Amino acid sequence: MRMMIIIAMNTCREGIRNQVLYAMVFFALAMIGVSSVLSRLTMGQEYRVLENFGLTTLSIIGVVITIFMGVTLVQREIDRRTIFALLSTPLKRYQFIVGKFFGLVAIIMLVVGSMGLLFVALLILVDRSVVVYIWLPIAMTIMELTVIAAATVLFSATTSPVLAAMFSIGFFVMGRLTGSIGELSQLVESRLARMIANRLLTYLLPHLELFDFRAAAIYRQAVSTEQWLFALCYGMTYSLVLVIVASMIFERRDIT
Amino acid sequence: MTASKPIKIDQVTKIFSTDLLKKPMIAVNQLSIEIEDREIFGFLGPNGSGKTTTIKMLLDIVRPSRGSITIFGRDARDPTSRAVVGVMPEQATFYDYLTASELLTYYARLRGVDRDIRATRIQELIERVGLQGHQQRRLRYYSKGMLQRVAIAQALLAKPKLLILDEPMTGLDPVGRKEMRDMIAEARDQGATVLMSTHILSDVELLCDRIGIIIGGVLRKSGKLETLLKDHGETTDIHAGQIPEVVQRSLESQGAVVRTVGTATLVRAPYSLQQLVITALARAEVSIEVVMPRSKGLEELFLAEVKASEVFTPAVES
Repeated sequence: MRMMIIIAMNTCREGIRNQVLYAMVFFALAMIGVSSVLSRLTMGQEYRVLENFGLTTLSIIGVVITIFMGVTLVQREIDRRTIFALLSTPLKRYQFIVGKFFGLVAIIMLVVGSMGLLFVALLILVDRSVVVYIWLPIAMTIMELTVIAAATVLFSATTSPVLAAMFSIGFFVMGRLTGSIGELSQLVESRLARMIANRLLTYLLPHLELFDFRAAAIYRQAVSTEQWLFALCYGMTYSLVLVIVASMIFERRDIT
Repeated sequence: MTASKPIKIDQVTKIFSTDLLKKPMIAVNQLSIEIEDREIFGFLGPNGSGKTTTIKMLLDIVRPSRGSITIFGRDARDPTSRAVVGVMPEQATFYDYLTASELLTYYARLRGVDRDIRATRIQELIERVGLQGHQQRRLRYYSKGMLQRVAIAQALLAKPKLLILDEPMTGLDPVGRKEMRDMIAEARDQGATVLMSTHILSDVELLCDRIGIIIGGVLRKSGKLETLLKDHGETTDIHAGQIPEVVQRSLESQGAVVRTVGTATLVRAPYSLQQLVITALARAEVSIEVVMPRSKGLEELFLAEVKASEVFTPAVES
């Protein structure tokens, strides 16, 4: 565990010292700031517009940061040859992969968490009651980003950054559309095709919609403990499986 | 005294299958090397000969297709075998967002250098490699030579029993090369075994106890430097008076080279023929002025080996 923490801390430090990250955070905060002004133009819907805009911005910027940071996470170490000095220590390859994943998650928590806090502070100025509802979509956005981070680490460990970026974006889009694909698959006449589609959707494709609690927060709907707990367990299990697969593939790989 | 050899490479072959449609590339072919305790072993070869691939296999970065590698008796695939190894990678580039101090702390933690001695050891090494005053600067502002110094410092962090140096002299000026040679020799004097791959043959002649020449993934020559030079390069120059034509032809037929300059003659013959030439000249009553053994340098030996490698298959240097 010690080795993984050392790798994670350095990965996190790399992220924090990356100026592109600050540009993205600045952009996100500017968007939220603009939305607070725009929301005043709407009649009686200002909280909802502000909350919706803010949560969506957090999610989108979070995805961009995760993919941007994640896709080069492993390959950059190989391209810059820094991995040779790393693997010449008693570090095991799976520790390297898991450490990298933890580091990326730490960056996400730090960036999205701090943006989330600023967003909540802004909301408090407008409507104090919202705080009860808003923590859940922010926490679940971080969980969703953790799943995407696990996928990008898998792609980064197995392919080039360009392909990893394409696969990661595909993973995100598929994950967000799994529900719609499921509904569409029911229209297919063939039972076999429906069954294959169901299995594929159930076990293979990510269900990122599970982490979307924005509507519930904006319309002040109660969310059962089972519902968010299930999403949390699903996200953790899915991430764990992806990181294990990434470690197994990286373990067998010749690093050239 | 360690019972097991610091490095034992036994019949190792590495084949890269890069593309389904392309023919697999043999980067290293049935390589066997044993490196003795506390020696400096020079690993020589032209570009793409398989040196870096071999070093990568030692560190389990690339896996052998066949054969086995042990480090102090432990399988090289076992990460614990690297606990006693310090490595300086080729063309060292590090995390440019870190300072030298931060980088060395990072590697010291990974190498398990005790927290109590970590700061002292890092400071000691920074001074040893001549980077004092620069340790708080980020590495992106370092020159290539300075990065090489950081690289050797990180390799020496945990006082390794085995040092693996891939092209350690690259990017260094003559002063830097001298300092690097001193540090390598010092590490050996303190008990470390050194495997060094380099193109700079003069450094090999100055530093190495034994060498191995690898060409096209095949080890062409291996042994003590003096022995190899003597076996494959030593000749004798004999300066004599005028030699009768019959004697000259006789010597040339046995492999000697005879050159006449005015009334003097130079006979250059393999060392093994020295006595025969002297006897022949004495019989012909030719005056012998100077008998001078002459060693060929490592460069000549190296180039001769490259030329002699009849089946040269370009290997993958990845």
